[in-house]
Amino acid sequence: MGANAVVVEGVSKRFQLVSDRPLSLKEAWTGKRLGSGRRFRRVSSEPFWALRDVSLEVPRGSMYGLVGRNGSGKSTLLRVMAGIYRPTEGRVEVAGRTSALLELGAGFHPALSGRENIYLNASVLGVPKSQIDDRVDQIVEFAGLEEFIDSPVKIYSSGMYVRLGFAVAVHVDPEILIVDEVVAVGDEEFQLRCFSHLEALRAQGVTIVLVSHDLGMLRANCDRMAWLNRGLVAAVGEPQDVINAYLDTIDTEAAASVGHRPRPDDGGETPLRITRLEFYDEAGHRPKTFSSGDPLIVRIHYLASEPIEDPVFSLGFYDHNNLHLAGPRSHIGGFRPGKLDGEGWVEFRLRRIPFRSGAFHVNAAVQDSDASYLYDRRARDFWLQISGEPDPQANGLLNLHGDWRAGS
Amino acid sequence: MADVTCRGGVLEIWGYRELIGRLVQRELGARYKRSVLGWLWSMLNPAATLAIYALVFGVLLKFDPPRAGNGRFDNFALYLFCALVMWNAFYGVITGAMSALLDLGSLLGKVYFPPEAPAVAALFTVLFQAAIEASILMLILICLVNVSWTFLLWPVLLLFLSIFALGIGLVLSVWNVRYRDVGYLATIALQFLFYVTPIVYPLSIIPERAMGLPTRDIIRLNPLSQFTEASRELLYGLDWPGVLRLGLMALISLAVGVGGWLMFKVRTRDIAEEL
Repeated sequence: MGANAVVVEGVSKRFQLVSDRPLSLKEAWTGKRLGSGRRFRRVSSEPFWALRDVSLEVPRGSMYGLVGRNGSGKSTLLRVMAGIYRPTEGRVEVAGRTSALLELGAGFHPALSGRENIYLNASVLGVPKSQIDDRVDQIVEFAGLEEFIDSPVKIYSSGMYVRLGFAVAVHVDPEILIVDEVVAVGDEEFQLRCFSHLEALRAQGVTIVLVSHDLGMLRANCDRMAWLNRGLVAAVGEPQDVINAYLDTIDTEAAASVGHRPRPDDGGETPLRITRLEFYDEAGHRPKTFSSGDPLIVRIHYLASEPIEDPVFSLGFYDHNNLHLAGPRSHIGGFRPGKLDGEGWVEFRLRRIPFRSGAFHVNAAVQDSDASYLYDRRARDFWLQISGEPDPQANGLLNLHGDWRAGS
Repeated sequence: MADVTCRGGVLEIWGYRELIGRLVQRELGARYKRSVLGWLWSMLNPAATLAIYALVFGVLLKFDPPRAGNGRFDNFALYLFCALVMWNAFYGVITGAMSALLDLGSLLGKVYFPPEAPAVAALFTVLFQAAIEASILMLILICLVNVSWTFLLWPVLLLFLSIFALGIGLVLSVWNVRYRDVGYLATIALQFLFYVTPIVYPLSIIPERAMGLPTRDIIRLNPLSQFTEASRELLYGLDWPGVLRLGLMALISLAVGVGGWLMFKVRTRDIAEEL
C-alpha cells in the first residue's frame, strides 16, 4: 500500500456535446427528426474538454479539498475518481473501497423505499447485508428520517435525499469518501453534523475528497487543496496558498468584468448596480487580512446608469458556516446618500471588527429609498479575512471588545 | 492500488454479487413476498399461456404429439410445456435485461457498478421462475411414470440457454438505451421468433420443402429450435440429444454469450454519460 489513496495521472476528459442524434432506430433509418422532419446535422459538434491533463495525489487519511468556479471540472473529476466516468486520457488509481456522494440523487432508486435504498446502496458499495442490518437504525437516525424510511424516496424533499445519501455514504465503512457540494443542501444543523462526522471519519483514517465553495470550512479542515480552473489544475498545495491564489483571481476577474456580469436575480439591466466591494483599514490601505478589533471600512462601489434618489445600501456579514452575523442597513441611522448618478461609492465604517478570526463573506445589496425594490445584490462574491485572535481561548462567535471593571 | 480506469473483467461481477443478490431479491420480493397467492399469481400467466396454446393447437388444430418416452401415453399439453419452459426463460431474460438496464441505468451516473449487473440479476430472477415451472413439469411427468436420468441433463441445457439469452439480452439492452424503439421492435421480433421455433407445433409437421425452400432445415438452423427440441427429448421423449448436438449448443451459447458480453462492454464504457 502506497502513501496515496488516490492518484490521478494526466487525466483528460472530453465530452462530445451531441445534442442532435437520432433517438430511435426509425430516426436513424430516415435521418430525420420525428415530428419536425428536420434532418440531423452532419457536422460533429466541438468536443468539450472538461478536464485537461489533471494530475493529483491524495495522501492516505487526508482531507483533500477542491475549489473552482461552476463548470471548472470539479464534479467531473470526482466522477472520474469514483470510476463513473472513464477518462479520455490518463489514469486514476484508487486504493480502497470508495463511497461517493455526488449529487442529490445519491444513487437512489425513486420507486424504492428509503430502507430498500439503504440496502441497494450498500450492496453497490459491496457491503454485506449482515453489516447493514446492524447499521440501518443508525443510518435512519442520522438522517432523521424515522417517519419516512418506509416511503418511496421519490416523495422525499431534497433535504431528505441529501441527508439519507450522506448517512448511507458515511456508514458503509468507506476507505475513501468522495463528497460533492451536496451537503450544502441540508440545513445548518445537519451541515454541522456532517462536518463533525467527516472529522470523525478522518480521525479513523478515512481519506476524504471534498468539493465545496465554503472556503472557510475548506481552510479549517483540509490538509491539501487543489484549485481547478477550466479543467486545468491552477494550483495545488497548502489550503491557505490555494485559497489565496483562487481569491486573487476572482477579485481581478470581478474587477475586470464590471458592468458585464449578468445579474443573477432578474437577468435584466438594473439602473443601479454594485460593481465591487473593497475593504480598507484606517490608513486607507487594503490589507489581505485584518485583525480582530481593528477598524474596518467597507467601501461599496456602485454604477448608476440613471439618477437615483437616496437608495438604501445594506451589507451582510456571514461566517464560514453561512451564519448571518450582522446586517447593517444604511437608512437605519438616517443616512441618505443623495442623488446618485454615474460611478461612486458609499462607505460603512466599523470602529472595531467584532468578528473572531476566520473567513467571512460579505454580501452587499442596494434597494430604492423605501426599501421595496431591489436594484442589485452581490452574494458570496467578497471575502473578508480576519486573523490575529486576541484571546485564542475565547468562546463564541464575536469579540465584543468590552472593558472589565471591578467595584464594591 | 486498483486502477479504476480499466476495470470490468469477468471476475468483477463476482465482487458485486451482493448487489445482484439484492436486485434479484427485490424483483422476486415484489412478485412473491406478499402471500402464498403471490406464488400462484406468478404461475398464473405461464399456466394460462399453456392452457390457451394447448387448447388452440392441441384440441382445435389437433397437432399430434409423439408418444412419450415410456410409450404409454401422448399428451400435447405436456409436449408443449417442455418447449414452453425454454421459451419462457429465453423471453424473460431478453425482456428482463432490457428493462433492468433502463430501470437502473440512472444510478450509473451516481455510483459505480458493473453495468451488466442489472441484466445478470434479471437472468437469475428468470431462472428462479424457470426452476419453478420445470419442477411442476417434472413432477407431473414423474407422476405419469415418464422419468429417466435424462432429467438430470435438463439443468445443463438451461445453463446453455441462459448464456445464449444473456448474450442477446445484453446487446439489445444497450441498444435500447440508445434508441428508444428497440424494445418495441424486439417484442415484434420475439413474436416472430416464437412461431419459427417448434414450440406450439412439433418440428415434424413442417414440410421438408415448401415454396422451393428447405423449410424444415431453416427452422432447425434457428438455435432456439435446438433448445426447445432438446428440452422435449430430455423430458418428454426420455432421449438424449447426443454429444454432438449438446456440444454444438454449448458452442453456440458460448459464442453468443461472450460475443454479446464483449459488445456490451465496449458500448457501455461511457454509458454513465449517455443515460
